[in-house]
Amino acid sequence: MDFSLTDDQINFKKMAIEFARRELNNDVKEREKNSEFNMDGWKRCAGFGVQGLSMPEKYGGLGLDILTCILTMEGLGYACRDSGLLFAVNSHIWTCESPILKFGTDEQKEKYLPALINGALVGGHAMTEPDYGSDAYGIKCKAEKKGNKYILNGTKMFITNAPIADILLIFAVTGDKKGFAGISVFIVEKNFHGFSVGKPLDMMGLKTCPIGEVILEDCEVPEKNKLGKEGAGSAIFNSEMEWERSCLFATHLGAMEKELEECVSYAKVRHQFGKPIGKYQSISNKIAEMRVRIELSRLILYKAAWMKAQGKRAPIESAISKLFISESYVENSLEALQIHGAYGYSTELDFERHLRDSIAGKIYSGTSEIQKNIIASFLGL
Amino acid sequence: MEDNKAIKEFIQSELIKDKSISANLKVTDNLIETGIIDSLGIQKLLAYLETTFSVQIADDELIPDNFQTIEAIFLFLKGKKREG
Repeated sequence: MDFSLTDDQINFKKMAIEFARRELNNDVKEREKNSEFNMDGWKRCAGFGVQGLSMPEKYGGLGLDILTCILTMEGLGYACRDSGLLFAVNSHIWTCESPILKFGTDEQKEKYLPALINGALVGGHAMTEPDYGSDAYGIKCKAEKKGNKYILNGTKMFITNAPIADILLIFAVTGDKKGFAGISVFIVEKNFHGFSVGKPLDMMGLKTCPIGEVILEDCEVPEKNKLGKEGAGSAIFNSEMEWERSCLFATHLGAMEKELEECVSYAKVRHQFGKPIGKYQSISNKIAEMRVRIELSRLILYKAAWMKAQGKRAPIESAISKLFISESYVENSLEALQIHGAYGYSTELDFERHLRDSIAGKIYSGTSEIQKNIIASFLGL
Repeated sequence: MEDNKAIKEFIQSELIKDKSISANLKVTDNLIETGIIDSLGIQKLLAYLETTFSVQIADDELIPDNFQTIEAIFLFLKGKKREG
């Protein structure tokens, strides 16, 4: 493994930081308060190239290597105070664009990828259902073949980007008795007959990312919109999750870096009982532990990404990475808030938002408990 | 046939918890419909097959037809080796 960074990679991270500071933070507090998605920011991200970081130039992407993508995400996570926007963008990339690139036909790629990359289309995927979350392959949404169409029926829940999505990759059962192997994926456009979405759900954090319900009532999907072969749903889902678990959490790493910097600065200037609070071990030890978690998060994130870049499977590494980074972000956010005391608890600063946003990371993309199950399973347990 | 035996032993020891099912496993048993291979099991099986038989299995090859039975896995691997 070689994690040494090129000048280009370092520059990309710097440019992402400058871009986010300059173009993504306007009125962020107001949008947070109103649970408002930043569509202008979405388009600006596309203009910068975020939605096309890892996509081939042929479709309008930048064709960057995975480590550069991660560094860019780190930079955005560091400087962008709108985690909801970053979450929406990442879901779009890893659960919609990437699977279309990997499993799609040439026709599907040409039809959807350029518009997904240039920001004209918003995408996502829909796996979770009201009664099936961690038990993802227990889903009941059904797809029945009729002539050259599939008819989809079912309800999807907690779907990232659903209220604003132009297309969603819908997971549905095509083989009743086959369990995980009976699931197929369909590219469903918002104007397909029988497709509708509910109102955005009010979540604890990630307030600016629209999350909602999807209803499929005799939804007609042309056969040519089936993604991959029938029964390929679990392969597509696993592939998406490995990428998402390896890359999305780079934004958390960036956010943790920012929190750490602010804690160090504050610990130097905030005086209590005649000296800076950073001179008390109860504070400096917290900050040291925050730094340790960041360093270890970075190492496991880069390792998982390196394995993916080598074309290797990384189920254990991506599970460890997702688990460790999401848990670290919560712990670091709690510590950052505590170090800042009442100021940290105030909504004037960003620490309470970091804490609310970070908790989501322990749930989406497979809960912490599911990541532990994956790791344990590979240990023969 | 040695490959067939090795695959069967792996499935018996790593994927099946119930000893009575494990002892009676046949190469023609449907591993998916019986739940022997589930979503986690397929990940373990893939890691085992790629390491043991030095093959690289693409994500789009992860379809039920290739993993339904031990026999199907064996034939799938045989085809992969022929390609390689």
